[in-house]
Amino acid sequence: MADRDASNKPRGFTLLRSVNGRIVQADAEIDQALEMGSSTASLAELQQRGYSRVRVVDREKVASLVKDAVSRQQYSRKDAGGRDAGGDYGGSEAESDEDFGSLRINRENLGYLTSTGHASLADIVAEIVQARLESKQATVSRFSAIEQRMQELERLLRGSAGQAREPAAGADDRSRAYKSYLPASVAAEEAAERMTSIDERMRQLEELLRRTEQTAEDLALGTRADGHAGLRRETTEQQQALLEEIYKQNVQLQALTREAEAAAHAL
Amino acid sequence: MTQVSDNYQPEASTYAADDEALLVGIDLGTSRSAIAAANGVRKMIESYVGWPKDAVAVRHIKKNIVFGTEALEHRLSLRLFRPLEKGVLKHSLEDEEAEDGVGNKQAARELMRHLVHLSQPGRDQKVYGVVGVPAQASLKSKQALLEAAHDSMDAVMLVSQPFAVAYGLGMLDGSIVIDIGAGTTDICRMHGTMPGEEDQLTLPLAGDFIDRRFEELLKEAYPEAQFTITMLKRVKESGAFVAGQVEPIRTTFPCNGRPTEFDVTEPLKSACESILDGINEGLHKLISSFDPEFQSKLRSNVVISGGGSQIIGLASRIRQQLEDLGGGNVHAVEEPLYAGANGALQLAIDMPDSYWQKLT
Repeated sequence: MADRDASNKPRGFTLLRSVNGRIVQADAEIDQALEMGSSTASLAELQQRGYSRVRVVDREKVASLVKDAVSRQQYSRKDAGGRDAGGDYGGSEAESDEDFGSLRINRENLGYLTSTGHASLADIVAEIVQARLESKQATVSRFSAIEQRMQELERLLRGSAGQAREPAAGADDRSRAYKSYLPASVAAEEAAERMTSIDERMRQLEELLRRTEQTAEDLALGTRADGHAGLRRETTEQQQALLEEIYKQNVQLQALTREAEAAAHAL
Repeated sequence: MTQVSDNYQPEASTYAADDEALLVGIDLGTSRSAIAAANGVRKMIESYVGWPKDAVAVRHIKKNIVFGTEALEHRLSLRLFRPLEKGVLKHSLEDEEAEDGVGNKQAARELMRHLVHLSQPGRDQKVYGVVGVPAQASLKSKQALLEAAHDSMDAVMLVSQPFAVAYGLGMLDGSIVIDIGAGTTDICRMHGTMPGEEDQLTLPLAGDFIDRRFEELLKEAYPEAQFTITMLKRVKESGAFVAGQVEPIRTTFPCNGRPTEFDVTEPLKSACESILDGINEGLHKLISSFDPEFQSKLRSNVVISGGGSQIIGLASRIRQQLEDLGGGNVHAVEEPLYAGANGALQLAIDMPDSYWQKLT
């Protein structure tokens, strides 16, 4: 039987909610599915009613998968990975848990996760947000370590230069500032180069963090079922031509329908 | 059962965006109708509409109109309509003659309106929809459906049902879609362009045909058994198969008023097999009349969808029949009952806003 929490929401179940790998899930339907029968319904009952993809969620597994993927920075802002990850329509071979080993977090895969019943949309978004926060904290820790290392280098450089000028406040100006007061010793030049490289690395990390946040926001936006803006995709030229053809046919059909209505009205 | 009031003023949806129309894809079927909406709502109902026969029935049912399973449950108290036949709107004299306007056309309108209502559009939110129709629906049928749809949506586009399925699956080039519904089986070959008339076939061999054949065979085998088509449909939906069945299928029908168990395995299998030859012929026709260089590509991408695709063993039987043409690959879509609505929704989503606005 479905386990229920204090809010009377069924726990342990999730329902297929994907339109061709895109997420259009509403948890409310689970309640409706349960209401259709008795106050509670078994997994088998739900499946019998056509909710064939209802399964018990292994949330811990999904959480670890998402965290693992995020930590490996396997974000992809393109939707190229959807089918590779097992979302091939009509196929059922690639639906075991093991197939998520090479999971890449993007919209298509989120759709696949929900459509295969491994997690609800809300679960995944929550996990991504959590993983993003953890990732951010890890990055901040790394920044602190780099900052500490920089301070050590500053002390070292001050000692070797024998000069007491205050370094520039901004991280970007640091290496330039140090270079300006360093004696022309080989060791000091090497230290300055290392500072430049650290600055560069910091910029890269900042950029990575910015992109990570952007991706997480995109994911949240794309998976929020608040209309078609988040669902709209890039269409190919072939699809555009087909859409135009359908549009033209329907314009013609409407014109004919209006003519027929007018004729009927005149009679 | 979801309680639906007769008042169609929709409640403000949690998901609805105020400044955007709600896009929906509808599969209006003879037996079941499904809607998939861009706000995440997805519903399916039996395509039945009923009006209470008299004031007593209104008091009993407490509604002026009922839909789906609820309508079937109360069918003795209702004027019951299943407005679609063979995938298109039924045209009957009753429509013209009914003084209160109740008839198949009105039922189709109400059914469409009910589906849109179930998709929970926001208050005053516009609704743009793509509706799947049988591959070879006549102009008159399309016009009738368009008219019915315009009552509940601000802009409507009709597309061939199997095309919608293919579009949703992204199988636009070198594939064949066999959409097996209740009224019709639509077969459509996709070759990278908009399928023309020569690319599509509509056969009357579908779920209803199986039900009738099942009835005939059962009457022959068990003349004493008492059953209705609705009862047989339920048996079919729980155990339809054409291959691979090991356990016998037993069901209970009244026999002179006494519940009696019958083994319906063989009649059910024979009834399900009765659509195979027709589908095979249609498939052969569409493959053999195609460019010979690309025939093998078509054969290797055959997809079955619709409620009929849930018949156990159907894909393997069709695959066996393809052996005559050199073999091929047949598989069922992941969501047979929603594939049409999903594809229609995908079309609605991909359709540029400017097209929708011009149609309003």
